[in-house]
Amino acid sequence: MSATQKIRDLLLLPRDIRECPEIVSSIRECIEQDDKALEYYVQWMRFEATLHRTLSHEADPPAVIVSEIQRRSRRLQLMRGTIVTAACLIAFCLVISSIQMSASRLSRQAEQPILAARIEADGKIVWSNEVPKQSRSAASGEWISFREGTLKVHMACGAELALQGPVTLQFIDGWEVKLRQGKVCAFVSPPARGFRVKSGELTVTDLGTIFGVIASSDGFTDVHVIQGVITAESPSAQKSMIHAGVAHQYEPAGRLAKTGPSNASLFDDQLRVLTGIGQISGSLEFLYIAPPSLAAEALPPHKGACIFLERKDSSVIAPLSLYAATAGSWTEQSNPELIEIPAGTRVSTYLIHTEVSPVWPVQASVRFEEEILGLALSEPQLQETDSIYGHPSVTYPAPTAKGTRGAVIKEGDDEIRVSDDRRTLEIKINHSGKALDQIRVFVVEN
Amino acid sequence: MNSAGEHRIALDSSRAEQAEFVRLWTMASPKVHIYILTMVMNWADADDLLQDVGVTAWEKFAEFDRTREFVPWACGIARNKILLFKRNEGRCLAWSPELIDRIESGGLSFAASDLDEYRESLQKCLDELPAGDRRLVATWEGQQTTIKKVAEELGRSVEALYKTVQRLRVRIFECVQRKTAKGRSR
Repeated sequence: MSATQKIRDLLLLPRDIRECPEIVSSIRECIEQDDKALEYYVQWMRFEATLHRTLSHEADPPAVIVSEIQRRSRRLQLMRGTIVTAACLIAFCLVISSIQMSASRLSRQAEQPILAARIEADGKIVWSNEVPKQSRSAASGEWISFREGTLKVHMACGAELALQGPVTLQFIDGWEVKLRQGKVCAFVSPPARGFRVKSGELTVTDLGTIFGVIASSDGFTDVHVIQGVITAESPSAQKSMIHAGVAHQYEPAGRLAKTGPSNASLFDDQLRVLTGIGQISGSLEFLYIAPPSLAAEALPPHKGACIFLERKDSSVIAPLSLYAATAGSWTEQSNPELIEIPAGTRVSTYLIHTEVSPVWPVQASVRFEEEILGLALSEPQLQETDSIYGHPSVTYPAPTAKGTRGAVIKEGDDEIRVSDDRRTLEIKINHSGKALDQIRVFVVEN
Repeated sequence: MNSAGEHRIALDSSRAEQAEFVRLWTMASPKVHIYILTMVMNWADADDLLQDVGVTAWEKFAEFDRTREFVPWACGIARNKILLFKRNEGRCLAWSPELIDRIESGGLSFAASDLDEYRESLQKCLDELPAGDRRLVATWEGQQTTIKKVAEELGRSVEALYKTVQRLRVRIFECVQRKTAKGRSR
């Protein structure tokens, strides 16, 4: 074997093996002895680095790749099957039985399921027709039906759905579902644009948004757009765009029956499931959509405090200093310890915002679906994390002279309590003359 | 001029210098990364060293002769760092100045236009790939652990999937080599 061939084989080893001292030494030997091997090595490393830089941002979620590979593999298997069948026809044209065997093998291969989604069910789901299972994959063409509960679905395209029972739904493929009955709320991030929900004759196509569809048992379909824009079309109605804040109702035949304002509260439970918030109690209001501004008195009068999702599943880009969400009760006298969240940790962020209001003091609790990692409680922490972990379209308050935007730290009467499982946060906020108090909650993303 | 005015001028010139450094480093860092990766042949070490070189380049930026090219200067810093970097541990490929010289003379280029042309050829080769193949390679480049998950979901061995990806990478590499050779002969 020539040195060039040897180095070619060594460079194709998996990275972790290739970086072992023994392999490094073999590669060193090759490039020290042979000019062509050296040239090949230099070219390959340049290629590897440039390819990585070019493609690393294009990576798809695993489910999309699985679906893609399965489709490719099935096509390949069909192609191979066709060649085998053709060869059989030429060589053994009279042996009908063997041809039948090939055909049956081909049909079995064609039935191989393609993954469409992953279902995440808790113990509260009352299934109509299947054995309860906490989470499992769903194949293209598969039907699901349940009577009660809220089910979370991760589509292969990246869209996330929350279904509220009773629901009967079919997964057409990783990009499309058919709703026979029930309520679906979809949270569609930009890569999953084009995700579709069919209901009767109607097809709703997402253009990057949050929307809900209700298919009633009488065949009528209501579409509510909460954020962004969608299109709706049917054989009997022209394609129309529906913008945020608008709802359309369609007849069973797909004709537009009426329009009106959208009602996000119809999907309250589902929106909370999609944003990762389990339960809220007390004087804390869950906002489906982030407010445009969080300067003092920018919000309309509400219950006294609100919480909303700022960023979902983002990566910590540089080590982050936060207050630890250690189980216990924390006040000005007993602050939680400061910890460092390492770079690369995946987090979702939520902002709890309170303003001076008639409801006093603000007492509430919020339970998250995942563990709380840390809290930004001081004004400098909030300012430093606004741009990276805050909502991109929200205007956050400018620094205050006294640095009093935060809560608990240096605040006489504020109190927070973190539950033993670190998923529930209880707050008691006293404003003592201040305009607003805020807490940014960092929740781990699995 | 009063001291406040002098202070402002000093601040302005420091900001201009910072902006100039950011511009040069942004253009140079892909090349410096290739240089370091080729010398150490370890991705994690190359990433650490690149950051280290960036910091040192900024600290010494006042000494940089603006009439010269930035990339060779930055690679000079990288060379010194590589020689100091864990050379006794055996995991760094080029641990002697002689070997670094040999690799440098083996085709590593610092010319400004080279990498742009190379990227253009690579892009063309990627565009020629079927969409599914491209996504598979992209996933591999994005996060290799994802491939393990994908293999698990498919019920295929990581090795089998790995071979598919490597075949595709070799195909892209050969395509780029052909295109860049054609570009040079023109």
